[in-house]
Amino acid sequence: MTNIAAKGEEDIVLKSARLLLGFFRLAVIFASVILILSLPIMAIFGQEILADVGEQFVNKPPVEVLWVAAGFVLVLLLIMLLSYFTIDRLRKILASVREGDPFNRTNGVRLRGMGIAIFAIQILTVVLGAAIGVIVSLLGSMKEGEQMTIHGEFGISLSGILLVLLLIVLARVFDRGADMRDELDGTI
Amino acid sequence: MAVQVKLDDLLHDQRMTLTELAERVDITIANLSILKTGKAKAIRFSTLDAICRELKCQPGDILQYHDG
Repeated sequence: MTNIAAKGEEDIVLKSARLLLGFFRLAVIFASVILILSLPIMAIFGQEILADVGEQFVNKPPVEVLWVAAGFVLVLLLIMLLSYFTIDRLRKILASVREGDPFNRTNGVRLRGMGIAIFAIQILTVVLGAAIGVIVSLLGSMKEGEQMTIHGEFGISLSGILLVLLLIVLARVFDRGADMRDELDGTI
Repeated sequence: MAVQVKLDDLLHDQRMTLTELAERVDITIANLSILKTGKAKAIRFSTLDAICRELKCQPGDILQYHDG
């Protein structure tokens, strides 16, 4: 058992994953702070923002655009929270691998939680896509010569569904692994 | 459990302590105590082999099945 843990400590894959997850965690925290700050900015400078955006459109944008944009930011914030939850769980699973005891029931619960969180992210991404659709329809037609491009994919992806399935199946594998370890622990 | 471990009786017959047996079969006293008190979930053939060798007995002398 100790040898496996020692190997885990030196494993380049585990080390890289830990560093990468640490970076992702910081990026999610940074993005969340920006999103939280954007809400009061929208509330204070809402009219100025609308006027600025309105210059590119035929009609003056209605104030509802701000409300939908605020909702968009809130959903994005929720996605960030779920991402943080997922990254944090994965970091804890990695730590248990390093300690040499990954096949426990807690990791099964963590994996199941990650699966549910990623499923929720998939659903919220669809909500984001719908919010963009509403904003675009509220803004109406653009003035001649003006152009606006929206980048990003908003919808349920096949890889996302596969990831959710993988995590839920892995959670069951870990549950069974914990059962087997319990059995082995009781073997003399 | 219907299967009972009769290690206590065997040790008594052989005038051997659990500590002594633990040293001879190279199993910790804690694990041997779990086996003796019937709390073990399974027993390895290697463990059974070592106990039989040291106590000069058959596996049937260590384990006994009680119906019901």
